[in-house]
Amino acid sequence: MTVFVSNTPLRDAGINRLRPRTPDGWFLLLLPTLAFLFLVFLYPLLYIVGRSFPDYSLANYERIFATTLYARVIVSTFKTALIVTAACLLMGYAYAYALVRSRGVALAILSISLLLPFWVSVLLRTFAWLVLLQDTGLVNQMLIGLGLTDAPISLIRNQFGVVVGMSNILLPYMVLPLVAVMRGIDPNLMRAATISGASPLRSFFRVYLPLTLPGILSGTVLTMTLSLGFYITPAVLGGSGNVMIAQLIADQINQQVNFAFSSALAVALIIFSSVAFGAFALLLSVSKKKVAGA
Amino acid sequence: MVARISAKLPKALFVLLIAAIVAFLLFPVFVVIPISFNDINDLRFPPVGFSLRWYEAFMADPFWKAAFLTSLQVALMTVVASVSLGTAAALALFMSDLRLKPALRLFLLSPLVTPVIVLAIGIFMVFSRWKLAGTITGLVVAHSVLAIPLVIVAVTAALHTIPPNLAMASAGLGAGPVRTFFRIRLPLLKPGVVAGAVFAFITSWDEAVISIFLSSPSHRTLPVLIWSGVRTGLSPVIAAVGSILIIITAVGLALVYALRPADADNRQSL
Repeated sequence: MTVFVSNTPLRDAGINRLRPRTPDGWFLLLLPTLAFLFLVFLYPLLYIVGRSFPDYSLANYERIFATTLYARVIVSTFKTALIVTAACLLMGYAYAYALVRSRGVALAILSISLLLPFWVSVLLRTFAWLVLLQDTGLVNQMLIGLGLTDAPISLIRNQFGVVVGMSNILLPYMVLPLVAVMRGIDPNLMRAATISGASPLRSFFRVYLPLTLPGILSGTVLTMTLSLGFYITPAVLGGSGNVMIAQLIADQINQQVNFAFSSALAVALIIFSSVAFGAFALLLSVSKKKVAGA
Repeated sequence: MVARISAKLPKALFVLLIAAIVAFLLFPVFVVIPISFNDINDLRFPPVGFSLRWYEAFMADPFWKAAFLTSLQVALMTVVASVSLGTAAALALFMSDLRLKPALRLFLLSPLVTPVIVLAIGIFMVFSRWKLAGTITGLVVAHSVLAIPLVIVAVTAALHTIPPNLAMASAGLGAGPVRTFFRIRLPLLKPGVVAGAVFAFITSWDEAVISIFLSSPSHRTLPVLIWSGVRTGLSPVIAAVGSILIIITAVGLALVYALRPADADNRQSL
């Protein structure tokens, strides 16, 4: 009997007993999905890599870094991603804290406000911002109505519009990991800090904030990597001065019909995302060790 | 008195801040619905007058109608494909004790974190060679790549909520593993599978980036038409179509939510 031989905890014992005699019979069930994703997910990605080196030459990659225009797009992509991530972190931290602390109706409102927009299409929400932020839109009407400005201010076709639209779309990706971490924090720790004589601000910065660091880092890495690859929102709300890498990739296919160069840009985007992801993952593991050791 | 005000002021400011963020999150979702009822040919908010003319325009336009039917067909086929493949994969990952399991899970979920534009051009180039670009099959296959990880996540979550004691009890009462699977696990998995199906439907129904590359004049989905509409000129018809999309999304999420209490009740009664 496997139950007596294996040293798995009792909770798993039931599952073990139910497994068929052939230990990896269940693996067969995985094969169709694996085959499907190898063919239409992994193969296209590998195809891009191959396509970016025509005749094994690095010319496409040299072109990316040698051309001022492309270098500028890469810098502006990172700049936009950083601003969006910072905006999401500031809003998301407060929101996650409120969500973890609330009960009943307030909790329901905060959860629905987070999850409904999450599932509404990015294209539609971008369209809504285009309507709200245009010269005759609600925001400009309000600014003029309040006497803050005489003529409409340009809120789209520039970085402001892109940051508003993108942070609106990415905020849930920041909030969800923060909520997960904040739920696990024992409220008695804050109480203990207060009893020990710490001011609310001090107990926040010395106790609460360090404990939420893993959530901050996972939310940040998720938001950052997702924003580096944004296409729809910057294309609709941005102007010629703040084009992002994804738009270059699409334009090279649609307008220049240069598949090889588009592929090289796509590989560069994957590398940038992975580097950002790796750097934050490293920070995360370091911070986790620190919290565990404290 | 002063002390009390200074204690309450930060809290009031905090509540105000959170209310502002809630408005920021919800406003773009809800603004689309009222502007679709404008009686004038402009995307005015608050709307001017009230009319259903943009909904009528949507239904009278053969292009929008064709796109609606294409979207529906692609989304339903994506649900069938991704729910079967995703559920099978989730079960296999949960039940098997393969060494490679963590790596396989990472691979199966990686479409979620791959930049969609990269996937879009890769799939476009490969499908063009396979004569799948511009076909319904091509759209379904591409949307399934994005939907399978969501089904896996939903079904895996449901698998973890099934008390292992139930399977043990079933085995103790003499049921074989196959019978236990079909009589105990599968019925309890239903909410997870339904949630996965809804997520797959919404993913396909809203997908724009890959669809822009894969569509052809004869097979365009709603988001592709919205995209060209947004880029060429803003018509209130887009708001009408958008409202329909938002309502379908909300109904789907309500369905997932409605199934959840039933599941929780079941577990309490056991």
